[in-house]
Amino acid sequence: MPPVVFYNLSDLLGCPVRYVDEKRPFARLYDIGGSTATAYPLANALEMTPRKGSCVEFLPWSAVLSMTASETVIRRTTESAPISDFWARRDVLDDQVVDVSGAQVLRVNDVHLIYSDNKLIFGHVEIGLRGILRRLKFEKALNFLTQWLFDYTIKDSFVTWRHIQVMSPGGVPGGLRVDKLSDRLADIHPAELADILEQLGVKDRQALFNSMSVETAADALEEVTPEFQRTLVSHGEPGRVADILEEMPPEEAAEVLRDLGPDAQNIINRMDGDAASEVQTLLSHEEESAGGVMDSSCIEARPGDTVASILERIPKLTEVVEVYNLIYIVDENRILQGVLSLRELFRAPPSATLTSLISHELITVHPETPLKDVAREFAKYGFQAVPVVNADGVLQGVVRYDSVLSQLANFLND
Amino acid sequence: MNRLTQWKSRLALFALVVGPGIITANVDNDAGGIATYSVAGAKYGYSLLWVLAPTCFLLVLVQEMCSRMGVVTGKGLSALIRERFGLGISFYLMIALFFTNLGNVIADFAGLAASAEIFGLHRWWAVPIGAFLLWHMVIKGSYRTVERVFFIACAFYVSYLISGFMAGPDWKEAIYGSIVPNTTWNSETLYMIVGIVGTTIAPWMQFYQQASVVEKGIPLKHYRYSQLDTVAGAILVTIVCFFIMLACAATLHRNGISISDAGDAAMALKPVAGRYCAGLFAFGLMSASLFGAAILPISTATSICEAMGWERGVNRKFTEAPHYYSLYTVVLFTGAAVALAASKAMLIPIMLFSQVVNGILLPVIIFFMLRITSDKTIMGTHTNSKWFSMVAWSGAIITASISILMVVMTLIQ
Repeated sequence: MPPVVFYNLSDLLGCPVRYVDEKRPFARLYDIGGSTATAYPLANALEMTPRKGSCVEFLPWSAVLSMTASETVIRRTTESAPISDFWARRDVLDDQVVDVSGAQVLRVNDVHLIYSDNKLIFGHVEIGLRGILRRLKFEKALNFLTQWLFDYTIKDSFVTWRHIQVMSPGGVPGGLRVDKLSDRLADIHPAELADILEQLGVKDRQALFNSMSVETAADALEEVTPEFQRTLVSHGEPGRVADILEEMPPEEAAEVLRDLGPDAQNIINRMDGDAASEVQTLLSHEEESAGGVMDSSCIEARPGDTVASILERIPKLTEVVEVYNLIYIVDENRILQGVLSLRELFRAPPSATLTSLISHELITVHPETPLKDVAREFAKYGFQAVPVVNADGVLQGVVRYDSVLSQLANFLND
Repeated sequence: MNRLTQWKSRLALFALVVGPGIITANVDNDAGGIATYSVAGAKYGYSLLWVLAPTCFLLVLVQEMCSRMGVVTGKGLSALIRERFGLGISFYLMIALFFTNLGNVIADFAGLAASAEIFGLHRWWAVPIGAFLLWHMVIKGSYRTVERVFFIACAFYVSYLISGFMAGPDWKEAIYGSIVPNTTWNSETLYMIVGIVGTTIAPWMQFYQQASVVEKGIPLKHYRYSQLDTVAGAILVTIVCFFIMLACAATLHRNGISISDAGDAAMALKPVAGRYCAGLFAFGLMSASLFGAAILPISTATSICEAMGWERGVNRKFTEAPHYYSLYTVVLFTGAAVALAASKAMLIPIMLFSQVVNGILLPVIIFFMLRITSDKTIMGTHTNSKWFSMVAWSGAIITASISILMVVMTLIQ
C-alpha cells in the first residue's frame, strides 16, 4: 500500500516547483485546480507564479512526479492543463462554501489534502480556530500555552469534502455545478435553505436560487426575510419569478410583491390568470386588513344542496382550497347565508338540505376590517377561518387563522 | 402612470432603501466628533468652516464605494477584504479596527458621562445604566427595532441646529468663513483641520455602512436611491458640524473661552448663550454618545465575525452566534468601564492611541476599497469609471496623507 501523506493547502502554497532535471526551482506554487468528477475531487492542474526567465503558469497534474511540503518536482511536458472545476485558493480558501449536510454557509480557513500514489485528493475543509491560528503561525505557541495552562488542545474542525459545495468560481464556465447542487438541496429544509441564501453574496445567492426547482424556490422564498425576498425577486428573471410566486399561497405572494414597486406589475402580468387576479385583489387591499390576507377560494354550496352531494364534492376540492373543513352557503347572488363545518355535515342525515342545518349566528368581517379586529374575532369564537363579505353581504373570501397569526407574529418580533 | 403615482412609488422605493447612509453619517457625529467640532469653533471661530465642504465631498466619495460594494456583491467589506487579500491581512486589520473602535466607544461613554452630569445625573449612574440598556436592546430586540430607534435618534441632532441659531451667530461672517479659506496657517491650525477630517471619515463607517446596505438587501436596480441616501447622510452630517462650530464660534470664541472637550463646551455655553442653548447642546451630546455607543460595538462584532467566518447578526440568538455576542459585550462593557474608571488625564493618552490607529487604518482600508472597486471579477460592470477612479484616487491620497499627517503630529506632540 502506498504511503498516505496529509497536507494543508496553506503549507503547500508558495512552495518551490522545479523540473526533475534542474536543481533550481523555476516557480512557486500559486494554486491547485480540482475536478469534481469524483465525490472527493482530484487535483488536475497547478498554477504557478513563475520566477524570472520562466513563463510556465499552468501545468497539468500529470506532469507532477512528486509533491512534498518543501518542493514539487515536475517532468517536462508539452501537454496543456485541463479545465478545472474549481481552484483551491481562488474559490475555496478564505471563501464561502455551502455545507450541504449541516445546511450552513462556512468560511474556509484551510483545505486538507491527501497525497497518495502521486494523486492529490481534496479531503476536508478546515473551518475552525485551529486553521486560522496555523495560517497566522500562532498554532504552536498557542497550543503550547493552552496545554500548559489548561491541559487543553485546540481542536480541529473539519467538514468532509463530500458535503461541500464550492460557490462562484469567478466566471469560469461550468464551474458551479448547479445541476448537481439542486439534487443535494432537495433534502434541506426550506427554512435552512433560506438561512443559506441570506448568508451568501449576491452572485452566489442568485445562482443558488436559480438552480432550485420552482417548488423549492417558492418554499425558500417564503422563509427569507422581506429584504431578501425583494432582492431575490428583483434580480430574478420575471417569468421564472412569476412561476415561483404561483407556487406560493396567494397572500404570501402578495406580500412579496407589495414592496416591489413598479416591478410588481411586470411579474403579475406573467403570472397565470387565476393566480394573477387573486394576487391583484389582495394587493388592492390594505396590508393589515382582512382583504389583504384572505384566500379567495373556499368551498361554496347552495342552500338547496344535500349533505350527500356536498360530501361527495369535498375530496376533490381539497386540492384547490386551503380551508376544506368549512362550507360556505351562498345564494344565487353569492350573498353569504351561513357556514357549516365538516363535523356538522358528517353528523347530519345524508339526504338533508343545507338550509335545514344552518343554525348559528353568522360572524363575518369586511375586507377593510383591520387585522387586529379579525384576530379578536378568532380569539372570541375560536374559528379556523372567518368569511369576508362586502357591504352587500357578498362573499369575497375567507381569512385563515394562521394568516392572521403569521401577521401578528411580525408584530411580536418588532 | 400619472406623475403623482410615479412620484409616490419613487418615494416608497427611497423609503425602503434609505437608512444606511444617513444612520452611518449621523453616528459619525458621536462624542469624539462633537468634541473636535466644538474645539474648532471655540478656538478658530468661523475661520475653519470652509473645511466642511471638501470633507463632505471626501466622505461621499468613500462611503459611495462602500454602499456600491455592498449592493453589487451582497457581502460586507471585511468579507471582501478576506476573500481578496487573504486571512493574514484581514486578521491584523481586524485587530486594529477592534482597538480604534474601542477607543471610540470609550469616548462615547465619556461623552455620556459628561452630558449626564450637566443634567445632574452622576456618571456612576448614567454610564452603567446606559451600557446595560444598550446591551439589552441589542440582545433582546430584533434588528428592525434597533434600526428604527437609531433612525429616530438621528432627529435629536436638530437640537444642535436650534442651539446654533440660539447662539446668535454673525451670519455674514459665517458664510464668508465657509467659502473663503482665510486661515492663518501654522502647525496648530493644520492639526485642527486634520482632526476635523479624521473624525468625520473614520474606518468603522465603511464597515458599518456596507454591512447595513447588505442587511437591507438593496437590489442593484435601486442603487441610485442608495447613492442618494449616502449623499443625504453626508450633507446632514455636514450641516450638524456646521451648526456645532457655529454655536461655539458665536459664543465661546467671541468671549475668548477655551475648551478641551464637548462636555466643556456645553458647560461653557451656559453663561454666554443661556441655559436652554447649553441644555440643548448637552442633550445632543447625550443622544450622540448613546447612538455611537450602541452602533460601534455592533459594527465591531459584525466586521470581525465576517472576516473570521463566524456566525453573526443581531437577529440571531446568543447560542447561535457566541463569538458575535461575546465581542459585542466585551467592546460595550470595556468601553463603559474604561470611561468610568479613567480620569480625564488618563483618557487623553487612550484617545491619542485610538486616533493614531485610526489614522493608520484609514488609508489602508481606502486603498483596499479602491483595489476591490476596480476589480472586474468582483464588481462586474460596476467598477469605478475612469473619471471616478481619478477623483477617488486623488481623494484617497488626500485623505490618506491627512491621516498620516495626523499620526505624525499626534506622535510629535
